[in-house]
Formats: sequence, C-alpha cells, structure tokens
Amino acid sequence: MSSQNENLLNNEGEFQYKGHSFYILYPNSTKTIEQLTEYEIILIYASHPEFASFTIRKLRGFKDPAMYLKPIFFLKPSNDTNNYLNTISDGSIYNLSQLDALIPSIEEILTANTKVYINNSISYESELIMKMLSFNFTRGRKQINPIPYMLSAINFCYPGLSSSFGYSEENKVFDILELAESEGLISSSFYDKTHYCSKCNNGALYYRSVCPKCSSSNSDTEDIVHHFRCGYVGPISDYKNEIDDTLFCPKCNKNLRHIGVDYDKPSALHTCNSCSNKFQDFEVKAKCMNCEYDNEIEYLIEKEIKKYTITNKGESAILYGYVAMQKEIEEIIGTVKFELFNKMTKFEIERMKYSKHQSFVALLNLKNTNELITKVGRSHQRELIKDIILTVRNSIKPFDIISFRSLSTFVFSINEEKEETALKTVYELSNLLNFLLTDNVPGFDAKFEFDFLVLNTHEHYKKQLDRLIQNYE
Amino acid sequence: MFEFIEEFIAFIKSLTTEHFVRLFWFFIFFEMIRYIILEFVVLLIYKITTKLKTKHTIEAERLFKFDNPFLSIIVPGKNEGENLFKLINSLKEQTYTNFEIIVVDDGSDDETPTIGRKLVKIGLIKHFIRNEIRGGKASAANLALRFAKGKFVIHLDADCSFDNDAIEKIIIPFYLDDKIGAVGGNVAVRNYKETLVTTLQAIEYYDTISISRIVSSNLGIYRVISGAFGAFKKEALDSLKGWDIGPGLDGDITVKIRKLGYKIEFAPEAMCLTNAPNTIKKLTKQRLRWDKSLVRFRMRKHKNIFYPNKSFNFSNFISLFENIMYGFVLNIKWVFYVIDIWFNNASQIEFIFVTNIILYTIANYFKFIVFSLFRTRKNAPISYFLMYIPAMVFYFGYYLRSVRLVAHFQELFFKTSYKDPWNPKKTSRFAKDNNL
Repeated sequence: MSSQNENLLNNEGEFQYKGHSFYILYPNSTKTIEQLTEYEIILIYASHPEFASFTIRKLRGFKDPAMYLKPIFFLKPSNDTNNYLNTISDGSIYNLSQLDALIPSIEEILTANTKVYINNSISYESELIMKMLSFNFTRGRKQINPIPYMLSAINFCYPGLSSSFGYSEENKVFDILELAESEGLISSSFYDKTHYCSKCNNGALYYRSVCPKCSSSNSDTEDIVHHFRCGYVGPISDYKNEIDDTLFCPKCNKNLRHIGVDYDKPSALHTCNSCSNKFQDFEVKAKCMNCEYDNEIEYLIEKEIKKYTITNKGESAILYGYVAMQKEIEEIIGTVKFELFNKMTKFEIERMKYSKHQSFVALLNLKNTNELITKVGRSHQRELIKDIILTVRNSIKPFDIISFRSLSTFVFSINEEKEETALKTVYELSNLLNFLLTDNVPGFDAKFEFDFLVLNTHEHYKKQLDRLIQNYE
Repeated sequence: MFEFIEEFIAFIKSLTTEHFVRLFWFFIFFEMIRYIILEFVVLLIYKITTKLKTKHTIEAERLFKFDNPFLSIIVPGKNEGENLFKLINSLKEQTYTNFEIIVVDDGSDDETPTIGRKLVKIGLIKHFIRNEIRGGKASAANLALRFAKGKFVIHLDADCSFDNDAIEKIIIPFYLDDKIGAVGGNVAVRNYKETLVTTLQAIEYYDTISISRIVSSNLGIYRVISGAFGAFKKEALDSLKGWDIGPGLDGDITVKIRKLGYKIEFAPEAMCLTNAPNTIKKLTKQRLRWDKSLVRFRMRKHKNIFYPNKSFNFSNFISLFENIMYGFVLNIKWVFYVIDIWFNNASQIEFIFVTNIILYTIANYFKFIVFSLFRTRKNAPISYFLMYIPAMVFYFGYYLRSVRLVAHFQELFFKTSYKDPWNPKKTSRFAKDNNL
C-alpha cells in the first residue's frame, strides 16, 4: 500500500486491501469486539505497549472463533513488546507500506481457519480446549510451549489458552491442559518447575532473607571474631574502640593484629533491627505480590510446567470436531444430540401436516454462562446442567425432547400445544431457571433469555431452526 | 599352687602389727585414711547435715520456684548432630521448663548443621550457631555464652541425657547460698553394660567421682565441675569472659570461679548419664588428657593460689593442695612404695602383692556397699557390679595410676597437652607460649 493510499483511510481506520478488509484499532476506537468480527484482519496500533498488550489478550480471549482465530497484527509496535504477545499476534509492521509482506501469511491463516471444525459444546472446558488447539493449528504450530510472561499470575502463558482467563483465575489453565492431555488431544513433556503462593496460587513471588523470629528483613550483620590466645568469641564490635581501628580483646586486652595468626572469623552474626533478635541463619521467605502472604519456602506449591504437542487425535478434533463433546452431551440424561433434534423436528412437521395441530421449538440462552462456570467450578458444572434439564423436563410433556446447542444455549420441543400455553410455559420456565440459578449460586445473577419458534409445514425444517438459533451462535 | 597358698598363709600368720604397717604403709596411711575413713566420716556428717538442713533446702526450693529463673542451656560440640535429638528429648521431659537451648556447632563436617537448623525450625532449640572454622570447645562455649539470656547457664555435653528433674536439682543449690557461683551435676555411665572397660568406669563414677565430689563439696574443696553437666551463674561467667582454652577447661573455669570468691557446690541428685569410652585405647586417651590438666592448670596456671598475697583464700589453697597431694604427689609416692618393697622385701614381694590385692578388694567392697547407702540415685543395680569389684584393684590401682604417672610426666617435662588435637593448634600455640 502506498503512502498515497494511506491517506484514503477513513477516520474509523478501516480499509480494503487486496480483497481483504482491514481495521486499525486505535486506543480511542469506539467499536465493540462484536463489531470487529466483521473485518477479516485487525491491526492493533501498538505504539503504546499497555494498549497493545491489553488489546491483543482481550481479542484472543474472546469466546467467538471469528475473533480469536482472526489474523491480528501490531502496527508500529514499540520495542518492548514481549515474546508472548508476539506469539499470540500474527506479526508486526512498522507502517502500512509493509502490508504486502503480510498478505501471504494472512491468506495462510484464513485458509487454515476454514479447515477448523467449530461446533458448539456444552462444556466450557471443551470450548477452551478447541480454542487452544485451533488457534495453534491455524498458526502452523504443533507445539504449544509455555512462554514466560511477567504479567501472568502463573509466570507462563500458553498461546491460545491463557488469554481466556482473567488474572485471578489464570491457574485454571493447568486444569484445561490436564483435561486435554487426559483426552489424548495433546501430549506433554517437561519444560520447567516453578513455585506458587500457597494461599492464592500466584507465581509473582519475591524472595527475602528475614529474621527467623519476626520475619523482618531489616538487619545488620557483623563478623564473629575468635581470639586464639584466650578463646574469647564475640562480634567484631566487642573488639573495636572509639579512637582508632585497632582491635583489642575485651577479655585479655591484647591487640589483635593478624587474621589467621591472632584471630579468625569463624562465622557472622545478624542482628534484627526490628526485634533485636541475634541469629546466624536467615530464614528465606517468599512474599506473594498478589495477596502479600509471606510464604515459608517449603510450603510453596511446586508445579511442573509442561510443554505440549498436539497429537493426531488432537488434529482430528480440530478438523472434524471434538468427539468428547458429543459424548458429553449424550451422557446428560434427558437430552438428545442436536442432529437427532433436527430429525425429530422434521418428523414433527410431517406429522403436523396430517393432524393439523400446532407445535413449537423453544430456545433458552444463558447470557452470562462464563461467569456461572467460573463461580461453580468444573466439578459442579455437570450437576448444574443435570438440574437445569430436570427442571425443563418437569415443565414439558414426556414426549417433548431437549437438546443442547452449546453450553449456553439449549432448545426443546413443545408439541401439540396451544401457542398461548406454549409461550407461557417458556416464559415461566425462563423465570424459574433465573430464580433457580440466582438462588443457588451465591453472587450470581442469572440472565436467561428465551426465543420461540412456531413450526410451519411449508418451510424446510432446517431453515426454521437456523432462524431460531442464528442469534445465539 | 597349694605350696604357694601354704606359704602365703604362713606369711600372714607371721605378720606382727609393726611388720604389717611397715609393709602396707601406703594403703594404711594414704588410701584407707583418705578414701575410706575420711570419706566415710564426711559422708556421715553430710547425711546428718542434710537432714538438719531440710528446712533450708525446702526454703531454697520455694525461692527457686518463686524466682522461676530463665536458664540458658548451652551445648558446644563438633559432629554431635546424631546425639542432639536424644539430648533434646531428654530436656523436653524436664519438670522445669523455663529455659532456652543454644547449640554451637564447632566446625562440624557431618550432618550436624542440617540437624541443628531443623531443630531450630521445629522450635526445639532456640539457637543453632555454627562456626564454619573449628575454634575448640572453649570458643564454642564462649560463642554460646554470647547468645545466652538466662540468669544461670548450664553447660552440657551433647551425648548426655538427664533425669527429668535434673535441671531443677542443679539450680536449687544457688538458692541455698548466694555465694554459690557454680554447681556440678552428678554424672553416671549409661553404657555400663557395653564392655568391661565401661563397667569398671561405672564403678569408678559411682565411688571415686560421685562420692568424692559429695565429700569434697562438703569440705568446701570441690574443684572440677564436669563439662558434661554443670551450672554457672551468668554474672560469674560474664565477669570471666567465658572459658579459657582447653583441654581441661572444666577444672580451669571452676578454679577461676573460686578465685572470684564464689563457692562451688555439687548436686548429687542432679543426675546425668553419659557414654563412657568403650575401649582401653579410648579410655587411655581420655584419661591422659584429664590427668595432664592437673599439672597444666593446678600446678602451672593457677599456682598463685599458693602465694600468700591479698587474694589468698584458705579453701582454695586446700582444694588445690589436696588435689596436687593426692593426684600428683601420692601417685609418685606410690612408685616409691613399690621401690621400697622391691628393695627391702624382695623375698616376700609376691605375698605382699597378693595381700595388697586382698586389702584393696576388701576396701573396694566395703566402699561400694557401704557408700551405696549415701548415693541418692542409682542408674543400675548394685548387685550387677559386685562381681567386677576385684578387677577394680587392677583398674584403679595399677592401670589408672600408670596412666596418671605417664600424663604427669609428659605434661611436666614436655607440655604435651598443648599438642593434643582435642584443641586446634592455632589456639594451643598461644596457650603454650603464655603458660595458659
């Protein structure tokens, strides 16, 4: 792009180049992340390192693959961008005239993105695993290596994964990696060992030599002097006088002249300026910069940091979908796979043609799913889903079916019912679920929204369902 | 054999009183009078006065409990790590608990630093202080003293263990008399069953050491507070600026405290068990070291006790005089006795030898059984030792005397204590040059 063309950029920073739509994201940009998904490539104006760092992590941490897989570059980066940020971006240019050089890699990424099979999952973990695998795959990386990063709560970041977590919950990265490894999607090998705060699991620790009695690091050190002649032992201040530097023994009043001949210094003595404790061995403590807890070294949490390789099964999951996700859905009693739900909807429409009754498909979407998962934790997630299904099941007829579209969205059929009654059922159900979750999950305000489809016999069943779910993908 | 017995009986029958005294003067005038009659009399007096002083003792105990003094237990040593747990366990059981434990590692080259630091970490000892370079026991004890915060300082050897009231018992005497500056604990042999050498030492500790200390303490001439278990007024140690270079620093510090005008007391009920050397070689090495200190400290370093100057003190004079008299002069006199018999009664020497053995054995049995009535604490049944008493004649009468003679000779003429590896050369050199 020539400098003349640069002048054609509009105020919003969007432009077309070689058939691709670009958007330059400035610090003062007013666009939301959702709005950014419409551009093929994002250029982050990176002359402010804090802005660049915050923005790239936010974009890569976004739940929508249309954003996290998008080619994103730094424009005019400062010299202090770090290795991790460079890894999760797709490269840097210093002015728009260098755009040509980016085109091959942009096309490579966009092509790779089309190969990735993204299906919705009911599992938050599955979504994150797929995100990590697909991001690295589309960047041509089979290795997922931890990268030391100063702003990380666990000292290391994994491309495609760590950006999905806030600072306080970053250690959950290890759970996701372990789960992916247990599913056989990645294999691990040793990379390093590190230590975390025993109270908050944070890796930002600073080590201090402290008084073993009061943990103060404010102390003075003196050599212990042993006078050979009389066996007197004491700190060097015992031997000093106020007039000159000559050393005199306080016991025998002899002059100490020659180290090794008259005296030696067998050890040192530390005096704490805080509690006056005299001691020889400092205690080393590790203070957490996050919660300020003063950890004893032996109680720090030791963690092995691993590097990972995407396995063949992992690649297959990227290209054809995460098999375990389907299995998880099937395991939830009372639900059917979405493909089966489609077929059943088709049969219902066929049945409507003969019996002239009305049937409906309802959709319930929990807007703040991620917040819920964070609050309840992985171990309670499945129980919660079962409770939700049970509640829905109790509100509909036994021959109506339920299916998960994604972790936050599920659909269910309401067959052979009056429209008014069906609508009322869905409305009441969404209120009931809001109440159920808000009441049972402390600090959580559930935000269920619902949608409703009146099935008709003249339109293709798939079109009708797509119309229902398109706003919740 | 029968012929010898018949001749021996005839020899005994032929002995007149005058002849008996002539042949066995050493036993009668020096051994029997000092170690049997005098000790027995003093023990009797001790027993009676102890009864009479009961009220006084109860008052001292009350004062001690009221004062509840903070004590500093110091344990200097090299490569004592493996003994520390046992020692600390023994101290944990004490009825009196207001104390701190300070362990000084004098340049150990084993696991002692790791063990010591761990003990501090788990709160079993207050300080573990390590000297990277070995400076000798005195320097280690002095370093511990620098950290000590207690009103009284108790010096222990790491390989010792204690009765659960030992700490209390060793401190109470300080409340009997304000002038008491140091108290020695009672030491017995823990491994008395291990070898014949340790069994004989156990008998020696019972009689010669423990009983002798009761006696000398009552006579006001008690002179060696064992390094294994001794308590000191902190102010006394501070004014002396601690221990001087060894070997023999236990006796040295006792004399120095005496010189300050303090009294020294023995606490027979403050019981400590230690492991005695289990081979004759180790025992010889230990005793050579102990015996040389008589020449080095009593006769050389502290000879001014005998000078009739301002600081002359009669009990200090008697204390050292008795020590030199019985430990040094009579040991040489015993050689004269052997020469006397050899030249004047050569034809009867074998009968005199056997008679001496019988006399000493009878005396040893008498002492062991009768004196056991005065022992306040026994760590082994008396009956166990009875069969070993005859061997004490050879152990005490011949072996220990010979070792003592060699030690005195070596120290008197060659100052060999300054070459003892027990103390580092760098300090011994100064001690030798300055007659310390």
